Amino acid sequence: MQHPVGYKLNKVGQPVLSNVWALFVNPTFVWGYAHVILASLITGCLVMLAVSAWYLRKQQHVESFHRTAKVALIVLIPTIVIQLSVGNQLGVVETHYQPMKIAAAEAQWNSCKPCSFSLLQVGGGANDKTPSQIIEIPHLLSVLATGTWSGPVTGLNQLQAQYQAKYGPGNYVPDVFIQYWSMRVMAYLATLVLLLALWGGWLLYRGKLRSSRVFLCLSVWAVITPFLMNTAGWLLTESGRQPWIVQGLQKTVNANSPSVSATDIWISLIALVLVYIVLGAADAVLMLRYSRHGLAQADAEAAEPSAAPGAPAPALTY
Amino acid sequence: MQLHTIWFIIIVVFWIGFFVLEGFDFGVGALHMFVGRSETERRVAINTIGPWWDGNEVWLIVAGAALFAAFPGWYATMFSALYLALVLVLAALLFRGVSFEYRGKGEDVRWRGGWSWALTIGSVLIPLLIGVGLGDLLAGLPINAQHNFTGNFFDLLTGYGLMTGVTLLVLCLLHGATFLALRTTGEIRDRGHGFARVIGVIAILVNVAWVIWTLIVIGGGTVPQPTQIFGVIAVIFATVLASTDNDGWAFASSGFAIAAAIGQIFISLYPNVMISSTNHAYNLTVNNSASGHYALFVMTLVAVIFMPLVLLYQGWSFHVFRRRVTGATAEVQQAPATSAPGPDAGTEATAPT
Repeated sequence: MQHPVGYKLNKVGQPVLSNVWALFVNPTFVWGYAHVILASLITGCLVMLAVSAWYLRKQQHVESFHRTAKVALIVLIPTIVIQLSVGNQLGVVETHYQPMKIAAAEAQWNSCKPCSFSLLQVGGGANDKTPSQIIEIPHLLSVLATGTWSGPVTGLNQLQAQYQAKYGPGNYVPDVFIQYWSMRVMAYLATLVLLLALWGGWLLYRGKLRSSRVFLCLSVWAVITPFLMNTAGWLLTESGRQPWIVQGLQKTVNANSPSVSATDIWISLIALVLVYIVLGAADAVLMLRYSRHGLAQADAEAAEPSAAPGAPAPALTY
Repeated sequence: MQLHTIWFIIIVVFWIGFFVLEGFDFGVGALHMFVGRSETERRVAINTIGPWWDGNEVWLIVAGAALFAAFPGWYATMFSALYLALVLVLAALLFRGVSFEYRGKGEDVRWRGGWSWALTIGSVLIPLLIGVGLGDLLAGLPINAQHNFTGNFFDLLTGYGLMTGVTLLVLCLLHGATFLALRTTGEIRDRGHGFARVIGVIAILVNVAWVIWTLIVIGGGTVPQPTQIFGVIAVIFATVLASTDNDGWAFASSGFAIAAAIGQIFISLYPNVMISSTNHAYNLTVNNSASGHYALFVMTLVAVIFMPLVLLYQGWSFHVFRRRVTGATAEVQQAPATSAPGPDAGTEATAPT
């Protein structure tokens, strides 16, 4: 949907699959897939690190949780470095296929060459196209978006004119506020996580991991960052595709089923939100309970002699 | 044979696979509180389906996904028409699926009771609602020339659709009861037999009524088709065998009855896939709702490679967990010193499932 490939339009204008291989080598797919898989790894590492740090702070099961914290850190450091470069590469791919998304993420209303990266700004939405830059880094946007030192980035105004010429009148600019801030939440938190991981790696190297209370405290709280980063990343990519549901082929506004009314959509949306609140609450209760359960139960289970070889069906698991 | 006909058959196989496999765990889920009176007995009932229910459920996803890929027109009209009903199915699937995992993770009686109800209600609602939806394909829904559904939620409650839903629900309950008898020992097994006998009698009546109604809906002759005759015979067999020790054959019969019922719906439909009650000229057919030839060809290749693999590992998982579940198994593991049962303790020869 971000960059449709491998299709032809049939007589009535519907896209029909024509080359399945093109789907598998679609750069948006390849880089996006790597990005999501790495994000899952990072989420897993940070959850593991947080639970380990919580126990290390309380000085319970120190040996076991020192080991899990070590594994989490050893995986986390290279993964987040790779993730930053994969995310960067995905940004370059998207600048090529979905320039609106990246221009909006930088609130870059006018074309530039070379382009500075806005570290922090005020304003910049559709009603205020000349944001007040508070901090910016020269050339960084060119490097991030094009992979070259002084590459040009086309601005939203210029893209809007191009799109109108190509697709007819309409507003083709995604929500700049969402783009700008979801990009920053994701990237800044990732940088902080990298610093935290490097700090942890250094403590590990010096053999002080179990005694650094500040690091352990921060690591426990860092458990929320992967969820914020993942949410921001999805917002960035999905909101950045708007107004398209399938980039260049179909707009979101035309994509609803004619036999599903707005009332139906509201009912289903509210129903699913309620279902997820109930299930999410139960899930959170269980995760916290099991995280704090300690290893007593697990130790007991491990100590218990396992059933005789060739034992009957496993005991009541559920 | 044309590719779209092959894919129609594959999709029918997926739906049959889903209802035959998930059918017994719907039945067990719906009956577990009544078959199991103590907490341990309830856990035994849930554990009879524990290793498989999620694998079985994937058949539904595959059926839906194959429908989406092979017949996008059919998928679009059907899923838009059934929109709110499917939201309800989805909510039931979510609660039911989670109930397996969450139930045992809390000790509280109310926690366990709550998830037991989620399992029971979900297990009743899902086959009922999907049955109504499948029945509606044949009963006919208001569909216009553009293949858009023009009715509202209450138009989905066709008489024949409701009858199909009830029939499938009762068949799933029977299938679950025969499965419980096959997979357990002692009192639970006896209760499974008892439920199978009572539900079986109801299933015979419902199935005969549904067969007659199907003949009326499709019109053109009053002679029952072989699938219908064998379907009714299978229900009778399952009911009669539930009074004997032939648990494997009773289970096979109830499974066959479900397969016959699902097969019958689609046999009656072909070459249509959705009937328009507005005008039969607007019916969706395998021709006018299928994907392009290239897409179907690629899908056929994928299916030829992966279907045998999936069947192989799913069959293997049934083989691994083929023994009966007994409450004793749990106690044996909790207190391994008290007795050292041989590998066959507490189990009987079970027919392959």
